[in-house]
Amino acid sequence: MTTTRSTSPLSLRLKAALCILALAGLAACGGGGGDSSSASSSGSGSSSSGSDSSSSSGSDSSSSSDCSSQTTEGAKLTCLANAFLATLSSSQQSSVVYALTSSNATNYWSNLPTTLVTRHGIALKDLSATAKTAAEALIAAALSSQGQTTMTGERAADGYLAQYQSSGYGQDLYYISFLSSTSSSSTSTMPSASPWILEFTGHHYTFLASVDGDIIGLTPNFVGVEPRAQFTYNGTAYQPMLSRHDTLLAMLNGLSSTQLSSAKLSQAYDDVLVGPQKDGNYPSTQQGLAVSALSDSQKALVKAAIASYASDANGTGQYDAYTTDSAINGTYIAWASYSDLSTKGSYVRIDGPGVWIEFSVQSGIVLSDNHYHSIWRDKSLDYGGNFSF
Amino acid sequence: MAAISPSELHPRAGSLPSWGRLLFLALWLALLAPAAPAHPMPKSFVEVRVLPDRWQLHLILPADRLEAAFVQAQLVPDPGPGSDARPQLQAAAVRDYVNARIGLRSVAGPAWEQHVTAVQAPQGQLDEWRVTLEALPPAGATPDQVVLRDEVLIREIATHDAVISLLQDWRGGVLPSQPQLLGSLGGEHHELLIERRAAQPWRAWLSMVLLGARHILEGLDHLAFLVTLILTVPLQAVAGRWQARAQLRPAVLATLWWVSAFTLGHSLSLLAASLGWLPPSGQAVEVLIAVSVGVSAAHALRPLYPRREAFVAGGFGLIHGLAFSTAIRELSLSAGQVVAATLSFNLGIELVQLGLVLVLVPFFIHTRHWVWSGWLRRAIALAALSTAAYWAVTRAMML
Repeated sequence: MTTTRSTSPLSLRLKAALCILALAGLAACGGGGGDSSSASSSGSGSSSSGSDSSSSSGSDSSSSSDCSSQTTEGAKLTCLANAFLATLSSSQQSSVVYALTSSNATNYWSNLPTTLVTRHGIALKDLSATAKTAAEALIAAALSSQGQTTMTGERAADGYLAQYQSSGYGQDLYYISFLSSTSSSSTSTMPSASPWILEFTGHHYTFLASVDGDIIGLTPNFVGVEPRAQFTYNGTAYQPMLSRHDTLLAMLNGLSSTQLSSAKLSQAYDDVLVGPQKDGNYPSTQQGLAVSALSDSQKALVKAAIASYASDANGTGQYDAYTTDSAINGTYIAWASYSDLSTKGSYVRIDGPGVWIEFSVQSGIVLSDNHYHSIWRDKSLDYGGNFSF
Repeated sequence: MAAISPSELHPRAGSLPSWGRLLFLALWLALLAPAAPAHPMPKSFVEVRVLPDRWQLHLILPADRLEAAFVQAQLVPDPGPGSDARPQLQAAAVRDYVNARIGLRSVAGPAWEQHVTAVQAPQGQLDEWRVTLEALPPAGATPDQVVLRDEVLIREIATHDAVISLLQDWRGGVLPSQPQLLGSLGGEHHELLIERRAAQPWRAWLSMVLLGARHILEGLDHLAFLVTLILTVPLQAVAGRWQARAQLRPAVLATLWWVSAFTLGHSLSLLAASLGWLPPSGQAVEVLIAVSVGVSAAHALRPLYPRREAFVAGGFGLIHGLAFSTAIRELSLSAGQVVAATLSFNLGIELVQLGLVLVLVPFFIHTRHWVWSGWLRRAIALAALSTAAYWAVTRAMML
């Protein structure tokens, strides 16, 4: 069974696992699901992975069945975190739980390979089979089904890169750690009544899911990808940033030429501005074009672009907060250099009272084609709002 | 590389940066996050050197970022969306671009007079421009606080970072071997206050002693010459062949004379070349050094110039000293500083030499009657001879 598991398409496995977890209505329990990922293998492939997941439900349910009875997403996540911690040895436990400090929160994630910037915690590849199952259930529970599709595709992209450059890249070269406000040397559980953060970080994908009673934020959430075009990994086709790219491009293409020129920034951007270790590096004033001046259909395109990021979160309410009338009317959109989101140097930004989204097109690193970096931040809820920058 | 900026540079273009920059990168990395040192960054670097009568700024600019800045500033035509074509930059345009965006001034004063002294286009695998400027402090001022304004790439690229380091300030003991990280500029930050260290002469001297020691330890050819020289200390030439000396005293005296002659030779030429009385050492000197190692190795096999070793060592010392002076000349120090730097640099060399002599000479003397000592000497001499031949050929090919 172990062999079958390791070769089955991860996205299907996760979706099946979610069905088992009965995270009501959020998981796409059907076939291919999300807009940017589809099983390219035949029906037999997907059915075999489906049966594989159900055959593994024995170990899943032992840790997750308790959690499915929790009434809030936050309580579920706390329960799953503790179920995961229970699968670890005590030395592993102490290596994944950190004190909730600004330094611990901000310094150990990056868009650079894990060989270049140290991540806290333990990598998925170093977990036992039982612990890995519990870890995957935990990560998935922080995400909507859209978010799971993103995460699965992101990890597949790193697995794809590892075929070209093994050092620093890998589908399971992603680290789990916890930041707990009640951390002490003997901490082995996450608190239900005080803040804690689940940090999941690897090369091109990072989120910090903050819990304070309920899940309140998924940010900072870095999403980059190389290759940007569709690729096939372990028999499944992926293009994890397709919907982000397409909705942002539709947003810009929906502008008149006058609007487009007033949305253009006066400087070039070779990367995101508020990237890793750049917390609080927002421009002193909002720049670009005010969304308040846009038509309803243009505003809908802005909201769709925001949704391509914020709807990755599971139950944080961040998307709703960004798209209230007053929030959307206090939002600006801007772009730099090229508005085609294809040419190197192309850049687009959504800057609202709460939301901050950036998307940057850059040279390839491992491959020759350009690649994407992007980030979703929340001006008040990054790291659960526990720190100010 | 990281409160380092969130970006990556192309490993395919990854070639070795200069050692100074590599060292600096390592320093920067060590300060901010554990990382692999050879990963190049899309940052620019500004190296500041405080020279006796002027300040020097050396900029290292990633070529693709400079091209993007030129497009943004409309100094070259935009290749347009969808094009991967790289605009061609002219050296004169790069000179004017940089000159308009960087400069020094006293805290409460106008910008210093400055001019660009060198512009180097990307060479080989190094996809970066290098620009050197010199700025003149106002007459009579010894500025302890100086404001560096840097908008190179920063004005055009909102996400660009420039890392600023102090490469040299003799008065405060800062030398390129141990640069001082000053900070970084980028975004809305264009100016950095440089506060010079208080005068600490001993720091510079100590750095030069260490530099001298490191120089000879890294200079395999100097070490090889010294080893072949002292190989024959316990021997005397009899009918064209080496025989062990019967007595200890002549061996010790020979050591003193020969090593002192070598030291005297390289000290004289080092000082003369550092002060500019001799022309700068070039590739020809490197070839001559290889030849000197070969001759000395051959002499250790068969006596070529018995009882004249001191003169030969002194003569070869003059050549080696010329090569040592390169390290001091490139600091562009004043005459007084050169003397202090040369003396401390030389002290570092002597200390290493002395250590080597104290270890090897007693060993060679003590084992001079042993059967295998002759074979050991021949093995060492042959190894040195063949290495010297290799050096001589490869260095001569670079002439």
